[in-house]
Amino acid sequence: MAKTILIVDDSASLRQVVGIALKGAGYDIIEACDGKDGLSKLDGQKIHLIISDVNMPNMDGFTFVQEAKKLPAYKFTPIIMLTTEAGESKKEAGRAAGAKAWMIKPFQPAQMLSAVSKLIMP
Amino acid sequence: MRKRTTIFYVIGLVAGLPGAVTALILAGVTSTGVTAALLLPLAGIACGFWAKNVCAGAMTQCADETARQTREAVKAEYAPLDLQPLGNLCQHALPIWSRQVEASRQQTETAVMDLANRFAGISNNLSTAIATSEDTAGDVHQSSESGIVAALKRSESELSELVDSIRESQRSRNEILNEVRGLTEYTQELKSMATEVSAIASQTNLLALNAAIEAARAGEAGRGFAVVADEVRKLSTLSSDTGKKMADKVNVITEAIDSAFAISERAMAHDDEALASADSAVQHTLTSFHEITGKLSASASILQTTGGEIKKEVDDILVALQFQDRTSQILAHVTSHINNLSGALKPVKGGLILDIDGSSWLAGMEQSYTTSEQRALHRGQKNAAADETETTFF
Repeated sequence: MAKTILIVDDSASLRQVVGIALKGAGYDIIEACDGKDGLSKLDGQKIHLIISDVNMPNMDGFTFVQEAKKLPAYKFTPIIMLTTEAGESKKEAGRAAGAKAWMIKPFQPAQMLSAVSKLIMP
Repeated sequence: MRKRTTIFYVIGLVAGLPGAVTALILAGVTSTGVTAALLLPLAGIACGFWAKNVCAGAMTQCADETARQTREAVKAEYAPLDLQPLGNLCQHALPIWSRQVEASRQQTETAVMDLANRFAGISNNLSTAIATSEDTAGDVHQSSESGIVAALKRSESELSELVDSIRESQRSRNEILNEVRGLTEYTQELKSMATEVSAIASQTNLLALNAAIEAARAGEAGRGFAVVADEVRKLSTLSSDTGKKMADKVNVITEAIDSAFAISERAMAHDDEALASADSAVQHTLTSFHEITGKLSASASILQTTGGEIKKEVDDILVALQFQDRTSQILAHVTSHINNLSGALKPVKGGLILDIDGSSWLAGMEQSYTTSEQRALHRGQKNAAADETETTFF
């Protein structure tokens, strides 16, 4: 059974590139275009890992992470922040919200696959 | 002003006093003299009064003129009415620029997504093709069960077994041949024995003849001996016949053995030829197999290397495709700022005003940035420092 990863980002082209990188390694992908859409996808289906952008309309990444961690089914789902921001204060905010890792765009596919396999739920 | 105007009266009075004194001196203390003395200072004061008014008027005019010029200057610098042509232009141009930037951002996004889709398709097809060819060829270096290489290896071992079994049967036949050759030794012995028997028989015959002669010489007394000698002669003839029969039989056997031997040798020679040609055919086939597996191995290596290179190219392309996301963010911010500026141009009675605070506007722009290029370019730096690329684990 292939593992499922939820990717939350307002850029369709970036969701596509992440999809290509992860599908090539055998993962299944679910896409969401902002924090609100992301929460709607957390409807009880098994999700092994979440990758989320920070700057998004409707609901930003930090809020989404906090809200997702409140849902009992997804409390322990590991979350990787994927963003153009590199500032320490933003990273601290991500850590405080509950993310497990902070990855800078543009990402190297090999790097992402390594982080995913390290953090993904069994 | 009061203190200043007093001086005019004082000067007038001072100017009139000498006149008054002179009048008194000239006319004496007469009515004329006194009147003149009084009138002259008064006239002086009146002149002072007139002078003050002229001065005050001039000063007021001067002040008014200065104020007017200052107002003109201020007007020239901040005159809201002069923004009118620029404001009108911006009201039309800013939305146009905003739409065009947004349109180009969207076009780029659509084009890059299409490119990424096609690229993903090509990449998948390549992976499938490489995987299929690897399955078909089989791995030369590993002992995999399937594939052409494994099949060739099995054929090779089966052929070797075949050649070995042919050699084995050839060896058996050699042994048989040796056995047959062994028999000829026995036939030789038999031949010599037959010759001996003939020799003994003829000697016996001779003896019998001699005995008969002696018996005849002995006359009547030798008659019994002559009979015995006769019998011995008959026996020797018999054994001579037997000997001859034996010799004939031995010849027949020897011929049979020789003939069998000759047939065997011919068959062996034939087998040798067949084996030699089979062997060479097998060797030829094995050489071809080795060539094929060698070529398969070489192309499998090339395929593996190419597959690795392609994977690296794929990874680099995936990184390059992400830059569209960055430029999209930057362009979206530009569009948003242009729209904000456009919205801040407000029409008022008499013209347009720009309803923003310059420094907080720029600070707001800087707040909205999400990339390091935007921040660097905002400060006028040309190249942004390379962003760190390591993943941070919490």
